[in-house]
Amino acid sequence: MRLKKINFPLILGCLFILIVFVVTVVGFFYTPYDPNQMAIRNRFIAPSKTNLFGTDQYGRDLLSRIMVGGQTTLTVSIIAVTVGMVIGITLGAIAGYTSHAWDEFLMRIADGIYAFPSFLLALLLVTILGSGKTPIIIAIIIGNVPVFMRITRSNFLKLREMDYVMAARAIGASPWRIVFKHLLPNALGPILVQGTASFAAAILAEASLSYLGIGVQPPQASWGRMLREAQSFATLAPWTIVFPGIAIGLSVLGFNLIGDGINRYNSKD
Amino acid sequence: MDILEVKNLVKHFPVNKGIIRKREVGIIKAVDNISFKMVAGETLGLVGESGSGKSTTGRLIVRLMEPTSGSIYYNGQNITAMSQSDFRDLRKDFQIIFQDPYASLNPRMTVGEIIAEPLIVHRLAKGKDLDKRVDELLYLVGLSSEHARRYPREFSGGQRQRIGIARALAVNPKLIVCDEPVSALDVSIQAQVINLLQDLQKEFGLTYLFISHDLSVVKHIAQRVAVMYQGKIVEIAEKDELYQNPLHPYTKALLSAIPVPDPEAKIKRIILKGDVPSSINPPAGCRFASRCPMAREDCFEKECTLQDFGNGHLVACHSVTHSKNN
Repeated sequence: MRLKKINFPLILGCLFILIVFVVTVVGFFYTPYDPNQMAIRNRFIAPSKTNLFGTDQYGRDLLSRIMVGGQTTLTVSIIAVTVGMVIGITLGAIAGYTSHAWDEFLMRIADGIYAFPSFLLALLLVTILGSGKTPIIIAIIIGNVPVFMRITRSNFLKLREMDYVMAARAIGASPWRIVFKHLLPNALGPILVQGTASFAAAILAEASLSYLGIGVQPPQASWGRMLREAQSFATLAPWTIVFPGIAIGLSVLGFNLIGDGINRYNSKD
Repeated sequence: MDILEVKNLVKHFPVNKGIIRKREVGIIKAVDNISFKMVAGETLGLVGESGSGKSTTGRLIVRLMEPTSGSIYYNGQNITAMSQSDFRDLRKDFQIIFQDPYASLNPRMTVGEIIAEPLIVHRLAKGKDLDKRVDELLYLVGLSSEHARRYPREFSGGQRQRIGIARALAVNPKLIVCDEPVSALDVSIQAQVINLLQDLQKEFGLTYLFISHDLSVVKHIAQRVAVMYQGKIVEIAEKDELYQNPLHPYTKALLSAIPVPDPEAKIKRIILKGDVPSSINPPAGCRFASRCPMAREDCFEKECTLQDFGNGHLVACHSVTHSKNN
């Protein structure tokens, strides 16, 4: 084997995501304070030994709220992107490998979804389903499906003309075998890169929807909600906006770096 | 005995234009009414420049494409009339070796998996037998069993081509379409692969359709040679006959282009005028007429068909037929 260059983006990205995950997962079992416990006398305590990240306008501990808020933000984005990815890959594979008619039919629908602003879609869903996690998850899924459809389809169209796919057909391999053994493994690289970018986008989408007030409802915490609530006090108590901001930034940067790293790894062979 | 007979084989590709309503603006006649026979155990060389339809012919024979019309008989059975599912069992008898050894092996599979795939698909071996058979095949093409666990990227072009050959051999085929199997390789490696193909042919009685644009390679391996131009076979003959006594003006021009390793030798190089005409909507008459030094008036009007000039030497050319008759 050749000596491989160290893949810094991948390592750094994994490190960031690891930090975010550890902090969030620990939040399930332990938080320094009750994240929803208000104590007006303790409001706007600057970061200190007792409150590492300080407190907000109700005197709630920010570190505890970030730990719990991460649960909302990360579960929403993980569920939404994973489901969107699976549906998108499936439909994209059908479009890219079966008939021209299916291709046209599915891709025109995908174009239609693409053309519809996803924020508007989210607002629509909230109106129908009421606010909470579910409409946000559904909105992000619908937004992600055409993205993965396109990337899967275009890779399938390219790969199905490769000689090794021809060889598999000459052998008499079934379409299932060709899709799962030859096309999908070779298309997975770009799909995963897109996946990491979509994670980053989903975190931002959840944050912005919560920021607009149509995500999770108070007193439940999410990173986007925390930003919204802290907005009015940004100059008075900057830490209330800085720490949730860092949490969002770190996860988005981490996922993007991982994507970059995967890309580098793939382009090696 | 004829193992394969190709009768009036045609493959047309439509050329579409327009975004919303696709209009057919032309037809590429990739393979245009060709017929030939192959005898079991022989190597038929199929030569021609790029775009002449030789690869399409190969792919039609292994049914990677469906012909527009015409038929292919394998041991007297019309395989073009069979559905893909009926053809599945016969598929074992036909294999193909590709030109580009870098594109013909799946980079995400190990060499062992690649060679085992045909055996798994046709349920020919399982478990220990499978591993044994893969080792056998690797050995057969001059590789060793420890290569099975490696990935294609760890091999050179020549080795990769050997892996491709092992995959084709796995199902004990009768007929192998070799689609320019050595043109992507270094000259020193070309000889090794050609010799390997010849050894395997002797050992297993294989029949080869050897597609190439390299006339010297074809001269080395083939017993008979067919020359294609713009989707048509213009001349077909025994190798020695074709190389010593070419009749079709296109074959003559092609042969005059083979470099001779003797600087003193004086060969008359026939340089064709003009370019290869577009194969979209070709004109009536002989496809070669516009570039042919021997073209007569009727060449532009009537298509020429293959005529027998004795000893299985077939030529499609009006002028040649004419001068023979006079």
